[in-house]
Amino acid sequence: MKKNWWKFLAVLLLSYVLIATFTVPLVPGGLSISIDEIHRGKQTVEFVGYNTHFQDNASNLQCFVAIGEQYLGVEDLKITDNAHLQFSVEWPDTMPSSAIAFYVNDHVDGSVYVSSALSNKDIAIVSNSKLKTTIQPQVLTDDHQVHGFPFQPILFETIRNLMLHVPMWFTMFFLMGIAFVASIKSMRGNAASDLVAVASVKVGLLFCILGLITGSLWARFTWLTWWTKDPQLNGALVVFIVYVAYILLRNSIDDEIKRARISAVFNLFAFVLMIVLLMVMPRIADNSLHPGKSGNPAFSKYDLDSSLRAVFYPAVIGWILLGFWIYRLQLKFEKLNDQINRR
Amino acid sequence: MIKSTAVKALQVMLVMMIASPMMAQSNGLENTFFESGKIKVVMGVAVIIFAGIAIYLFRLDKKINQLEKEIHDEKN
Repeated sequence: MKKNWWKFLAVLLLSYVLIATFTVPLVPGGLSISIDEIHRGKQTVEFVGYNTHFQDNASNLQCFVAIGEQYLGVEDLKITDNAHLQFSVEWPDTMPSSAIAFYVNDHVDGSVYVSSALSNKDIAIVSNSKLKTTIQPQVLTDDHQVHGFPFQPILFETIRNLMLHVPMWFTMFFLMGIAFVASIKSMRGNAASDLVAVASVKVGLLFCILGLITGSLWARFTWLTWWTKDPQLNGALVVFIVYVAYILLRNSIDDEIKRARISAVFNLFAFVLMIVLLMVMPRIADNSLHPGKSGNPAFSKYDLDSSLRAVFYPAVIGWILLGFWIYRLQLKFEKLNDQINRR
Repeated sequence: MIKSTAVKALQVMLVMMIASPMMAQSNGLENTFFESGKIKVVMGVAVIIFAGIAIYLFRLDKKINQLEKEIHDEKN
């Protein structure tokens, strides 16, 4: 019991993480608008919110359109329900910018907006033109009454995958790190370390596969493709293949001492390759879609706010402990297997 | 014995690669994943992870039991 405290910790952390991952709500946000083209004159727009409370706040709700840094009021506001409302916009003949965002402000949800790419049919963009500003936006502080995970455009609920997909890679790094250290020991003549290395690489590969498949599924519904030319993705695939090659190489050598030595050398190179391909290259490359890579901010206040950190860090520790647990079972298998092969 | 985890892993990857374009063509089920804030994507990810770990553990358990039995039989 005392020896296995970390197993209890793993169960405890993962239980907390899973409950939090699936029960904490998203803060309110703007989901979509019904138009994709604007033209001079009046246009009716339907605004769809997510986790919003339009109906409950009908009395102090404010809608407007932000064009560049100026604001345009809306007319004929009609609230259908908590998530849907309708208004019409009287577009001017000229406007200062083509950056358009539709805002709904209320005191429960805070400021909710949709800014999507709209094609402009016939409105002239004149940078110094003044709108007949018909509205002064309410100043709302950031403290929503609804607390939860941040609402990010495109991601929506899939921001929860942060607690599932991302720790797979952390766990793989941890296990491949064990294998790296074991391989160094193995090269210095510690015979048992070879089994440690192969056991942790096998479990690391499990987490690598899970990371690849879950990442592919996530990408399909956010980046709209199963696989893309992201350096992080291709790097992960190469790392996967290199570690599979390690297992195959190790299995193909019958002589014990030779097997330990050759596979240890291969493993050292594989680990260095993994660091380069997954941690260095995506940061240097300029076409990575992953946060934290090529100038995309990760660990910034927008990507990882305190509500996510409170679940994400325990998730990383919990999954790493679970990975370590599975590795111990795999090591048991490798030792038994070795014992039988020696006879 | 030699046809181990690595080969199995390659098989899984192959199936995934072949299945992906086929899934992309059938749009009915796929489109439902965009509904209600894409929550089904999260559920899919969770199912994949737990199924993956469960299958791995069941297989490992079976293999360990087999070896233990072998060692036990040899002793007797």
